[in-house]
Amino acid sequence: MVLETQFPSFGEWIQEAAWVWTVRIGIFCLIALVIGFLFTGIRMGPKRSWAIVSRAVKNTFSDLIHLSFKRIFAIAILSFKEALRRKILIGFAIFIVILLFAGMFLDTRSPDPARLYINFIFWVNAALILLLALFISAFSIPNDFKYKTIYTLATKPVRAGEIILGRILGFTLMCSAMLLVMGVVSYGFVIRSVAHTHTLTADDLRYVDTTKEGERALEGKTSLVKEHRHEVYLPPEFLKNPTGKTVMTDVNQGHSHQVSIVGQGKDRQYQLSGVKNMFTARVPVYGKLRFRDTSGYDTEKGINVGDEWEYRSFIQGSSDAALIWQFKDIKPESFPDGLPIEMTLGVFRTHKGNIERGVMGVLAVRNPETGLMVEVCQFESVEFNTKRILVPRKIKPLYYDKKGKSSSVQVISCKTKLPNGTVVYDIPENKLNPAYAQPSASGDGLEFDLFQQPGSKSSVGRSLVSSDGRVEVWVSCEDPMQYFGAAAPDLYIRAYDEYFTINFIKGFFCIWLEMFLIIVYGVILSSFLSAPIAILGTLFIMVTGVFHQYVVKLANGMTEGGGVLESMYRLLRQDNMITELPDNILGDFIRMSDQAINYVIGFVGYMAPDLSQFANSEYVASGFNIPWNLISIDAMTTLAFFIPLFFIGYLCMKLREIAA
Amino acid sequence: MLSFNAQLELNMETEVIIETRNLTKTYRDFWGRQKVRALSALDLRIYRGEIFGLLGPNGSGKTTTTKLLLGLLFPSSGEALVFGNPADDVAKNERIGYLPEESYLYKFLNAEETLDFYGRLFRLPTNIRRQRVRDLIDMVGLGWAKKRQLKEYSKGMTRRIGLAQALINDPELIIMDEPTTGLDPIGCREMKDLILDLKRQGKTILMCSHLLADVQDVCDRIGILYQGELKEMGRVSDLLQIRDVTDIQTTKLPPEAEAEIRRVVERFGGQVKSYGAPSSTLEELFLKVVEEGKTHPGKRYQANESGDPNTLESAKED
Amino acid sequence: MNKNASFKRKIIYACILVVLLIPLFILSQPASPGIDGQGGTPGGVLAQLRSKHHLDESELGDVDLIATTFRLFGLTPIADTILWNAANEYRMKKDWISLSATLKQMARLMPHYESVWRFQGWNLSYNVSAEFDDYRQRYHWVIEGLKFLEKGVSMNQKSIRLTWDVAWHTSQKIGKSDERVQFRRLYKADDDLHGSRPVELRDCWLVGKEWYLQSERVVSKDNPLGKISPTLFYSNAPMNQMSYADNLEKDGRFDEKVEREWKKAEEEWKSFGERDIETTQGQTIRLNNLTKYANLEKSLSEELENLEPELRNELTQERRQKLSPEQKAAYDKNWSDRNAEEINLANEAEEILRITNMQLAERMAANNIEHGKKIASELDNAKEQATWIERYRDLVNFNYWNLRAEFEQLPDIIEARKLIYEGKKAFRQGDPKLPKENYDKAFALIKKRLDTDEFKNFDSEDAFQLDFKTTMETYLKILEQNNETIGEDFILHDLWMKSGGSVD
Repeated sequence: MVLETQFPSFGEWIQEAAWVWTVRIGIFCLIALVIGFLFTGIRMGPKRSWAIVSRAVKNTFSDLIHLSFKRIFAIAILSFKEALRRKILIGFAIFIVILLFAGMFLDTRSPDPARLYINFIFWVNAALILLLALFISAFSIPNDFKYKTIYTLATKPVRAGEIILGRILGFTLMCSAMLLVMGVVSYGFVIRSVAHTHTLTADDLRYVDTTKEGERALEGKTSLVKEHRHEVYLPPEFLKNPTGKTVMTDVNQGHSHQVSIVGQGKDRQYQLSGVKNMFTARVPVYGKLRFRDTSGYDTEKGINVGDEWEYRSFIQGSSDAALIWQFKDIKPESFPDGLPIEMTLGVFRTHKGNIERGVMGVLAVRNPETGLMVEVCQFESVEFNTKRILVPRKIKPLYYDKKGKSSSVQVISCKTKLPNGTVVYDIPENKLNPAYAQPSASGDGLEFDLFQQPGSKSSVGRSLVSSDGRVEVWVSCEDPMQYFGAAAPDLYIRAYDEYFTINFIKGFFCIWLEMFLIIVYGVILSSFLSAPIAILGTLFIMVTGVFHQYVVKLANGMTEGGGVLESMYRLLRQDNMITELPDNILGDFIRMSDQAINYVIGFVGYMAPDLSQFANSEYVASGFNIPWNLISIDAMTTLAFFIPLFFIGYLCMKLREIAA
Repeated sequence: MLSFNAQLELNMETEVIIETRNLTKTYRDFWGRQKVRALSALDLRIYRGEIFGLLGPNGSGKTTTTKLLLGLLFPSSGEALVFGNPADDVAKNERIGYLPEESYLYKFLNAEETLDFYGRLFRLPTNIRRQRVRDLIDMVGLGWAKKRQLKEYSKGMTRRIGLAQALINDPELIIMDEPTTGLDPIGCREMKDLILDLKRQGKTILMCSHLLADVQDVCDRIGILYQGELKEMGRVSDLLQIRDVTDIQTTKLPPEAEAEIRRVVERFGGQVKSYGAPSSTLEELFLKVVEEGKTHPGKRYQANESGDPNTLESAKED
Repeated sequence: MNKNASFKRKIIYACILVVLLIPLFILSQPASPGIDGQGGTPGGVLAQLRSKHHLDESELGDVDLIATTFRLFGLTPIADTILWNAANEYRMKKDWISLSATLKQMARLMPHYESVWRFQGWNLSYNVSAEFDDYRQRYHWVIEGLKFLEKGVSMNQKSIRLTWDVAWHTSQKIGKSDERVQFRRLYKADDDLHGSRPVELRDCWLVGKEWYLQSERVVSKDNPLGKISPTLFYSNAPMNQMSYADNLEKDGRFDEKVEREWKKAEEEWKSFGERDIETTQGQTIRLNNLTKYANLEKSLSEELENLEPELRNELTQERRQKLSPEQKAAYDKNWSDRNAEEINLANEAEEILRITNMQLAERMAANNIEHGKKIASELDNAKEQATWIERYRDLVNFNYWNLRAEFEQLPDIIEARKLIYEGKKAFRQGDPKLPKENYDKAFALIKKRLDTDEFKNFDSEDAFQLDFKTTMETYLKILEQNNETIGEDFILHDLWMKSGGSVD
C-alpha cells in the first residue's frame, strides 16, 4: 500500500501536539481577554470594565463547574426526539437506501473489486453521514431562537454550556445510530457483492507432466464469472488423496478459491469454494529505508528516474547499489518461523530486455551489529503486485560451492559520507569479524540462524538479528541497465493479521470522529449564526478540512502559480504559470496583498481540522490494519478541536442577548 | 407544598424579592444608534408574598421589564436584582417560574414529555418529578390530552400547559406576562383563582397586564408604566380608594326607606350620591349562566310575557 | 343535480386520461435489450427514432442514473474537471485500479465527448501498458484500452475517429509493438475477447481491417471526414491486408493462402488507387492515374511543340532582350560560379524567361491558336494532375506497395521467402550447411525477378532496401560462421550496394 505520510507513534506525537495546542489556546484566551477589556473599557471606563471582565471570568468558571450531567442528558434526549420527529429523517433514510442500491450496479470489471467496493462504501457513508450531521445540527439552536422556545429554556436553571453539550450529545447519539445501521448494511453489501464462485469441469482440465517420472498433474482454467477466471493446478498428490491437501486456485483479482474433489472415477467432480483471502487486515512492521549508491555509500535518497511522482527512489542494477531497510524490535517470539516479507517494488527498464521475464533481484539479510550479510534468495520482480518472500529461520545462502565458501556471505560495514567530507562507518572496521562468514567448525555446511540461540556461544556471530533486535533487509537488482525503486513502506514484515471486521469497524470509527466534529461545528456555529449561514459555515469548514494540505500549502506560499491575486491576474491575462509578474506598482501590490491574504487563509485554514487524516478507507481497502497510533492521534485531534469549539459556543450563547 | 425556613417566615413581609435600581434599557440598532428607549430609570421593589401588577398600555415597557428581570435582556444601565442577586445569574432560575404570553414550548413533545423535560432541568428526584407531573396535569385539567403532541393543542390548552411548566419546580416567584389575555371568562376566572391560591401558599407573583379589571381583582400592589417610565405605584386599595365617598350596601329595603336614609346622611353633613340597586358584574352573570347550563342542560332563553328580560333576581328564584 | 354533474365530469376526465395514455405509451416506451439478445423490444416511436439517428441511449440499462442526475443539475463540467484531475493524479501515482474506475466514470458521465474515449483509450493501451514489466499484464492493459474504445464506439456509432482508433490500436499495438510475437499469440488465444470468432480470423491485422472498413462505412455526406486526410484514411484497410499477408509468412506459412492474400492485397490496393480523393486545393485525383497523366503530359507536350516548333526559341530570344545586362550575365554564368547576388539575379532572369504553355499557344498563328490553346490547357491540367498524384502517392508510398503486392504474390518469391525462413530456423538450430544454401537459392530467385521489366525499378525503393538489409543481417552472420564475407561476386551485389552495404 502506498503510504505517503507515516504517522509517528502516539507518545511522540502527543508531546509536541499538546504543547502546540496549549500554546495556541493560551494565546487565543489572552487575545479574547484583551479584546474584552478594550471593548468594555471604551464603553464604560477602566474600573468598571475590570469588574465586568473579572466577573465574567468568575462566572465562566462557576458555570463550567456547575455543569450537570442530568441536564445535559435531558437536553440530549430532547435533541434526539427533535431530530427523530422531524420527518427529514425518513426522507434521508429512503435516500440512503436508494443510493446504496445504486451502488450495486458498480462496475465489477476491475482487477481488485474488493478494494474498489470498500473505498466506495467508505466514501458514500462518510458523505451521507456528514451531510446528515450537518443538517441535523445546524437548525436546532436557530429554531430555538426563531420559535422563542429559548425563552422557556433560558428561564430554567440551564447553563449555556449544557445547552451546547446537550445538543451535541443528542445529535451524536442520533447520528451514531444511523451510522451503525449504515455500517452494518455496508459491510453486508461488500461481503455479498464480492461473493461468487466458479465451476470447474473435467473439460477445463488437461494432464501435464511433472518433474517426477510417471506422475501427472491436472492444469486448467475455471469458468468465467465476474469477468475473470482462475488458473488451476492440481498436483498429483492431491489427485491421489483429495482430502489430504489444501489446493487453491491462482490469485486473480486479489482472491483465490479452494479446490476440492468429490466423487471417484467417472463421477469425479470438481468444486470450488467461495472467495478466500480477499479480506485481510495485515499488521505490517515497517523499517527505515536508506539507499546505497553504486560507490557503496549510504544515502537518504536514491536515483530519480524521471518520474513525476517522487514517492519512490531508484537504485541501479548489477552494481553495489542496494535498497536497505532496517527494522527494530524483531523478537524470536514474534517470528518463530522466520520473517514473512512482503514487498511491492517499482521497476524501471532502460531497455526492454527479456520481456518474458521480470527483472531479477536478490534479497539479503544483514546484522547491523556484526555486519554479517547473507543472500537469501533470488526473485523475479513483479511490478505493482506484492511479492511474498519468507526469510526462513534457518537460512542457507543463495550460492555456495562445494567447499562451503560462498560469495553470498560477507561481513561488511556501511559507510556514509558526511557533508564535510568525512566518512562514517556504522560498524568500525576493526570490529568486523570475517570469521562469521566462514563455514562453521562443525562442518555441517553454511547455515545461519535468524536469531541467536540462547546459551549458544557460536550462534552469536552467525545470527542475523542483532542482540537489540535490529535486522536489515537488502534488496539489489541483478539485471544491468535496469533499476529497482522503492519507498519505505514498500517492504514490510507481515507480523500477523488482524480481523478484517475489526479493521472495518476501526475505519468506521474514523468516520464517526469526522461526524462528531461536524456536529460540533454545526452546533457551535448555529449558536450565533442563522441556520443557513451556519450550514454554509460548516460546509466551508468541511471543504477546508478536506483540502487542508492544499490550504496550508497555499498559506505558506508554496503552491505553483502564486497566491489568489497573482493567479487571478494570470487567469485574466491568459498567461501561463511561468510568466513573471510585472515589475511595477501593480506587481508589488499583488505580491504584498497576496502575502496578507495568505495570512488570513492560514488563519482560517487552521480553524478546520485536517480531515484527510480521518479518511482511512485505503487501509481497509488494501487489506492493512489501521494502526492504533493513527486512531489515537485522530481521537486526540478531535478532542483538541472539541474543547476550544465548545468554549466558543458557550461564550456565544452566554453573551447573546436572548430576547433581543 | 412549600417548605419555608424559619428565617424567611420572619421576613415575610419585608423581604425584597425583586429590586430594580435605575434600570434602563435602550434598544440600539446595528450601528449603535439609539432606536427605542424602552425603559427609563425604573426603581421598583417587590416583596415576598405579594401579587404585584405591572400595568401599562402596549409598548410601555412591561414586557421589557419582565425580560430584564428574567435575564433574557441585558440592562443598558442600572441593575435588576432577583433574590438579591443580579438577574442574569442562572442559579436564581431554580426558584422562579415564568409564564409568557404565548407559550414557547417544543411542539414536537407531548404534555407529559414537556413537563418531564423541564422537571429534569431542575434535577428533581425521579419520583418527585413524576408525581409533580401527574399533579400538575390534573390541576390544569389536561389529563385527557397528555399524550398528544403540543402542536395539536388549542390556545387555551397551550396556555394551561405553559402554566404547568411554570409551576413544575414549585417556585417562590412566578412571573406572568398577560396571564388572562385571550382567555374566555371561565378560564379567566380559573386563572385568577389560581393566582390567589398561589398567594395563599406564600408565593410572590409579578404579573403584567393591560386588562385592568383582572389586575384590580387579584393584585395587591400595582405599578403603572407609560412610555418606559413608572408613573404610579402603590397598593391597589390605597390607589383606588375614593376617599371622599362612603360605600354602604344593605339588603333590599322597601322604597319608604329611601327618604329617611337621605335625611340621616344629610344630618351627618353628607349627601346621598346614588341610591338604587347595585349591578353585579357581567362576569358573574356569565359564570352563573354557564353553571346553570351544566346543571340544567335543557334550559333555553325565553322572552318574558311582559317584555322584560329575565332579571338576575328572577333567575335566582328558579 | 350538481353533485351528479360534477361526478360525471370526473368520469369523463378519467376516461380522457386513460385514452391519452395510449399514444403516450406508443411514443415513449423505452427500448429494452431483452435477455441474451432474445425478446428485446425496439421500443416506442421516439426510442426507435433515437436509435435510428444514433441520438442517445434509449435502452434500459444504458442510461446511467448518476450521470443523468448530474446532467440535470448542470454539474457535469464540475464533475468532469474533478474526475479528470483525479485521473491524472492516479496516473502519476500509478494507481491503475483507481485510474481505470475513474475513466469509466468519466465515460459514463460524458459518453458523447469523443476526446474522453480517445485520450483514455490511448492512455490505457500505450502509457499504462508500458508501465508494466510483465508482457502478459501489458497485453491485458492493451486489451483494456481496446475494450474501452469499443464501448465508446458503441455509444458514438457515427464517430469516425473512434472507430478508426479501435482499428489503429488493434493493428499497431498488437501487430507492431516490440512484443508483437507474444501479443499476437495471446490475441489468438483470447477466447474472452473474440467470443465466437473462429481462430483463423483472430489475426490483429484482419480484425483491424474490419474496423477500418467499419470506419469507412460511417463516412457519409452528413458525416464527412473533415480534417482527416482521405489518402491516409483509405489506405489503412488495404495496408492491413498487406501486413496480414506479410505476417502469415513471418509465422511460417507459405502455401496458396499466402499467394491468395497477396493477390487480395494487390486488388485492394488498386481499388484504393481508384478512389476519388479530393486534394487540399480542391482537385479530385486518383492515385492510379499517374502513368496515364504522365504519358498524356508527354504526348500533349510533343503535340504542342510540333504545332510550331520554332516558336519557343523565338519567344525565348524575345524575352532575353528584356533582361538587364546584370541578369543576363548572371544567368549565363555557370550555376556553381554564381555568388549570392548573382543567384538572385539569375533567378529573376529565369522568371522572366519562363514561357508557359498558354503563353506559347497565344503567340501561335491564327489557324493554330485555337487548337494550341486547347492543347495547352489540357497539358496544364495533365501536368497538374500528375504533380498532385505524385505528391499524394508519396504520402502512402503508393508505388512501393503496388510493386510489393505484385512481387510477393509470385510463387517463386514465396518460395524464396520460405527458403529464407527455413534457413534462418536452421541457422538458429546450428545447421552448418543448409542456411547458406537456402539463402543463396532465395537470392537467385529474387535476382531473377528483379531483372524483369516489371520490377527493375523495385530495388530503388527505400522500403525494399530496408527489408533487404534486415535479411542480410542474418546472412552476414551465416557467412561469419563459415568465415566468409560478401564479395564482388555476390548475386545481389547491386542491390546490396544500393542499400548501403559494403563489400570486401
